[in-house]
Amino acid sequence: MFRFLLALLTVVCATVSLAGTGLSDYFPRSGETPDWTPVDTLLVFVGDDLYQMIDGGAEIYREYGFVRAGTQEFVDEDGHSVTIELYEMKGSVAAYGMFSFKARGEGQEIPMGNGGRQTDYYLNFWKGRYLATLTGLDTSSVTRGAVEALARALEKKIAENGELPILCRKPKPVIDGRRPTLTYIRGPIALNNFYRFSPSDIFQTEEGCVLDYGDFKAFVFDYYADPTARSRFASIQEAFQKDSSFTFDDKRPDQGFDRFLMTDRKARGIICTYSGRYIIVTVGRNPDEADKVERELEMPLMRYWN
Amino acid sequence: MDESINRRTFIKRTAALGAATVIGGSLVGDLLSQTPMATPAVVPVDLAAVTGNDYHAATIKAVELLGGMKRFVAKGAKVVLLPNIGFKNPGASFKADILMATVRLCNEAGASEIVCLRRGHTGYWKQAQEDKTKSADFDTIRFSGERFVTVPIPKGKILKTAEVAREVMEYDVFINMPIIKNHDGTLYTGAMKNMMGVCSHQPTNRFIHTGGDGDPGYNEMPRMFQCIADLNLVRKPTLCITDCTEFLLTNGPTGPGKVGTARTVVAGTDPVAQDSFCLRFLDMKWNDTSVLANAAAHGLGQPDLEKLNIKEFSLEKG
Repeated sequence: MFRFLLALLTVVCATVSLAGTGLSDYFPRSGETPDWTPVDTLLVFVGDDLYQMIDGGAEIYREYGFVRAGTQEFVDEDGHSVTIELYEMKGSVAAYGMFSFKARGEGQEIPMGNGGRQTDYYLNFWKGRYLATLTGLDTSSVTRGAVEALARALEKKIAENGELPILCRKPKPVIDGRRPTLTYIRGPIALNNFYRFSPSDIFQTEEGCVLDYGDFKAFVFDYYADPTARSRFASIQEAFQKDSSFTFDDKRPDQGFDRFLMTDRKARGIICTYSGRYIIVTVGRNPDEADKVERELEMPLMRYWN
Repeated sequence: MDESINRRTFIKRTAALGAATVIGGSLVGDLLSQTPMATPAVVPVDLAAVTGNDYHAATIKAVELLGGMKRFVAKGAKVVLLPNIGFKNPGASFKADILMATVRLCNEAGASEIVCLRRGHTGYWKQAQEDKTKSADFDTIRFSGERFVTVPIPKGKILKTAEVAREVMEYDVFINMPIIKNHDGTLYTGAMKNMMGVCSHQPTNRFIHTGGDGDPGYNEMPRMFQCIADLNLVRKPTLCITDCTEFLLTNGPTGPGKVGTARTVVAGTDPVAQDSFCLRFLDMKWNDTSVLANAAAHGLGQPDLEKLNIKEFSLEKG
């Protein structure tokens, strides 16, 4: 009898737990945020159906690891409007990655969930495996206030928490007094939004990050083991040598088996090195700048990242 | 949903595609061009870019600089519009003011019918419906885009057939109305990619995105760029009007993201030239993306702006 009751209890708990994972449970209900009511019903898109929600823009979510998304619009009596999008990703690393890609240092950091940023008309935050984007259709204080209030109502209901990917917990070097914007990447679609190295996926990385300083950038790709990084480095060098978009400068010093320098069509300098399990690429407005960035990054990266 | 096209126009167009395959790329654009009867002897400009705070007026001026809407819309012509108006976020959709100016010009030129292939996001038409100066034009628009025909693409390298809105194949005038903006996957979207808006969701749109195997990984992106160029062989627009007023610089095509402002409306007949010109607003050049190189290889247009007669005009400065 005890075993039967235990089994029954297990089934009931599992059912409740599954029901609890419905995206609709997280959305604010009517009356929960004063003066703001939901319009129509919540729309939920699972897997490939994401194309119906954001036709043409689903690839990036899939690259980070997408499970499902829900969206609903909220309005007040004066016609102000806020749209909530809630994305369930494949784990907190995927949620953070998509958050870092969408936020990209825009607006102000806000203490919400495991991290949030708010601009004049939209707000992104991530918590656990969830990423929320709330957008107001205007920049009035009423709408901005509602964006934040609705986000708080949503955040409160998400019980789980997530941690930053290991790669993103390291100190970020300050160069020329500039603090970088950090974006975690999991593939070439995200990477291409910062610099288009090749039409092919030559880095074949599963994990990396971009330190964006504005005029110059650094890319760190993690290959998890020294031999893998070394082998990939050789393949990358070969691919660049075959690409007419880049010109190699063999005359500059400090080039060797673990470091090469080239310029692109816009005369920007690019330095590619490998260090332990990482491949590091710096891009500057000219070769000297790329060289400087790479040198300033080298020590902190060697100290903290390996 | 599927319907075969039996009309003479479609047969003629398919024949033209076949001929173009044999004759070569350079003539494809001319053969596919849907510019109706009254082509003026002198075409003053290839592409017009008008800047100003009044987007309705900027649109009218841009078309005027091209020779006026009568150059494109003959009396009694049927017109089909393809605006990119699916997303509500700032900088993500073609401005209603530009669309309504285009509708007015088509009506003034004597269009017998104006069909819009997109219904737009919630609230998109509200201003046009409530504004007394524009509501009469709004009432002349018929919404469609749910009936498709399957079209062969003999010269397509990857996309060999496409299911497209039937009006695109049957109507006299086709006006492509993109907004230039960032796109996370293809880096930008403009006139070339907006053509995906004429396709059915299944199977054509999904084939372009995933190759039909359901996996839209990065390796699909180069083939997607080729498919977009292939799709543009279906029909060259009679006229392109690109919204470069306010546009997403990040997180496109949906947003929300950083919004850029250029207050410019660009009009032309060559979708490749159109995109090549408009990429400046995203700090890009035509060879930053293989979409335009693929399209140029198909003979769909001229990406080299040095070879075009471009007229830029400011409403404020005159």
